Amino acid sequence: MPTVIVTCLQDVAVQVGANRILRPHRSTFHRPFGVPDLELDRERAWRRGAVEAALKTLQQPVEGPQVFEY
Amino acid sequence: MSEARQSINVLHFLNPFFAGIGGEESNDRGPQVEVGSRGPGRLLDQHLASQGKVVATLICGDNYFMGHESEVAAALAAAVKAHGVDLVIAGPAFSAGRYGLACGWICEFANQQLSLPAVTAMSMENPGTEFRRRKIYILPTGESVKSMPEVMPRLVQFGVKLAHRQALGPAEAEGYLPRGLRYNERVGKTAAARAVDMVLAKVRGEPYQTEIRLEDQERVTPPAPLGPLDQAVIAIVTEMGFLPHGNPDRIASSRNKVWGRYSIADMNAVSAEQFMYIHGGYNTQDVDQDPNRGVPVDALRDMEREGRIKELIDEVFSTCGNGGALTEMKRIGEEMAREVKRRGATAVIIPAT
Repeated sequence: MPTVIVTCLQDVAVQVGANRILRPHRSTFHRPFGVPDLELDRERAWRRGAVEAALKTLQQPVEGPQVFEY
Repeated sequence: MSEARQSINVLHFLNPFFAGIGGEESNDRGPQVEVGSRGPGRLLDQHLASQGKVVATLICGDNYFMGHESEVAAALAAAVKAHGVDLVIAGPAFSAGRYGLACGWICEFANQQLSLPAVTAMSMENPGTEFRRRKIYILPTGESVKSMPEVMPRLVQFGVKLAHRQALGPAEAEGYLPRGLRYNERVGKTAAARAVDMVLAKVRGEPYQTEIRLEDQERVTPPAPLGPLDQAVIAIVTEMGFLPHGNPDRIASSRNKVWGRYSIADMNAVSAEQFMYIHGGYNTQDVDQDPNRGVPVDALRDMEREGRIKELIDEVFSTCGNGGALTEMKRIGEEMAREVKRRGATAVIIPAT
């Protein structure tokens, strides 16, 4: 079963052998799916995009740890 | 090296918590440099005695550090120049993960960019250990600050050796974590004879020491990718300490050993009235305010309603990964994986800090 780890500490994820890693650029490590600076609607739209990116990552064939960005 | 050795100037790297100038909220603070020692730096001074002193302390919040490395580097470089620093000591970080990562970064930067010797100390379970043990000198510590009195003399002794550019012996003898580097050494036997000796020792059940340690980075065979999204059954698994108010499973904020499964049935989103996060390793304020910032239930529910995905499993599988022992975390991961599979998930999203 494929998994995607969504994190800002992507190097640690690589080290422990996670294969699909998503690093959302506007998030930070204490809120992987949040950007509180945005208005509520825009934050939700951003989050939807981040989730879509995570799902797309799950659909990618990989051969070892690979970091994707959003 | 002459008899009367020069007194060495040490720069000590701390986070605000260890420096005694703030709690979790101070983790967003940018770098500041103080003259002289702060917090545990005073112990360094005591053990250094006439061999040297802590001339400056660089303090930076863990949150700030991640993503602002170049600002921290500039502060470090300036302080090194201003105070004529000979040696950088970072930590000890014990099991504090983000501080450990920061300490490792500081040491690597000091070595590579400033040509300065540097040493840090942290526990074997600290992610900073696995991440940089091959690049820098790390002395092993216990999990908690209780081992401080025992660590400080070792840090000083080792640091002084580095600062005077004394030749170092193998890791086991010097007390730092093996970096996987090999140095040539003249010995009495050929490689063939040594290899046979090792094999014989192994079959006799006697102790022996390999000369080439195998790479111990974990490798997991990548599972096949997920098929069409409209057939996908998604589960959310997290180590962020997501849980309902009241913490029914008593998930601990640090060195935790349990996990929980929390129903999100009939919820379009996770609300702050019902859920919160408990985690000693990051500031939970933003995710407590809107729990969807950690586990993105709102977005996945929208997609489920629109038919973009087939289903979101109606439970979130959650634990707290902060300072967790690898053995416990492995067990928790296996237990969660079994349940996620049993619930029929075809893929898993893992928000992690």
